[in-house]
Amino acid sequence: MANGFLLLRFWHPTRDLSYFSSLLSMPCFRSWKEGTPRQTPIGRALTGNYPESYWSSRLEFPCKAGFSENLNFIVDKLVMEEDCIHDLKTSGGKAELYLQFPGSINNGGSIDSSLLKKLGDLGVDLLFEVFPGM
Amino acid sequence: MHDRIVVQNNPVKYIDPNGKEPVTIAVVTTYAAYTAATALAAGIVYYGTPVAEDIGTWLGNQLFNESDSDSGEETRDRPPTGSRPIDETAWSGDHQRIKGEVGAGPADNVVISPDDHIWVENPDGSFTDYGPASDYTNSGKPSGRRGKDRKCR
Repeated sequence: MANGFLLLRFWHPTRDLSYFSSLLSMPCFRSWKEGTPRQTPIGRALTGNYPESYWSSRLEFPCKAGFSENLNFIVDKLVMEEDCIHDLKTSGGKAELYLQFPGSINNGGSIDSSLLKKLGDLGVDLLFEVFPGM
Repeated sequence: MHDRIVVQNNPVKYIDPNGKEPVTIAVVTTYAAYTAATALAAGIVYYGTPVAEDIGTWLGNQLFNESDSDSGEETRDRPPTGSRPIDETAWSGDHQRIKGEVGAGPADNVVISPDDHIWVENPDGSFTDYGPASDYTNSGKPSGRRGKDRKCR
């Protein structure tokens, strides 16, 4: 069964974003701090330093079940930490929810207006991408 | 500097009889200056004939404009020659994961170079190297392409 993924991602020009793991009680998928040496996930050194900070968490969802449950789960967490999200945004950061769908089977879902309003109020962008054959 | 370096030590084959080849001469002359400067810097007196490979490498670097960004990342105006969209490579099955790992989004172009490095296009059109694709999968191997070298899950 093909699965999809929902990534919650934050960027900031300078701040260390690792605090989001404990703040949201979500496991970190990948993160780095601005100005630290670039490296691959297994620690191989790359040239240069990271120009900005990044933090992400990744939730897998079976396409049969849809993404709505995971999306609501994350948005509810974000609403609880609304002040932190606003602080991130107003200080030059960026917040995204990135939905990744496998393109091998029929799948879909709906995002109701109340959820869209929450995302809009939080200033969180919603991204979609279908990966053929996944 | 050796006079004949401008015509690659072959004044018969490489001539500019009518003076209408300013670009070619400029490139060769600039290459000669570059070669001489490199040799001087290295404490070497350059007497040999520049070979096509040397010129090709030097010219390639000029054309690709390989440079470092403000953060020191290796960036290029275009990915290495022979790079292909990730969907057309054996790393296609790892596309989702890689985008999450490198912070790329739906509109970001991800390509794989012939040496299996991940290159991601930046908003300004330049490309940044993210290292070997094998570092981005649990097995260190590609998951394969759909319907070709990978079983359906």
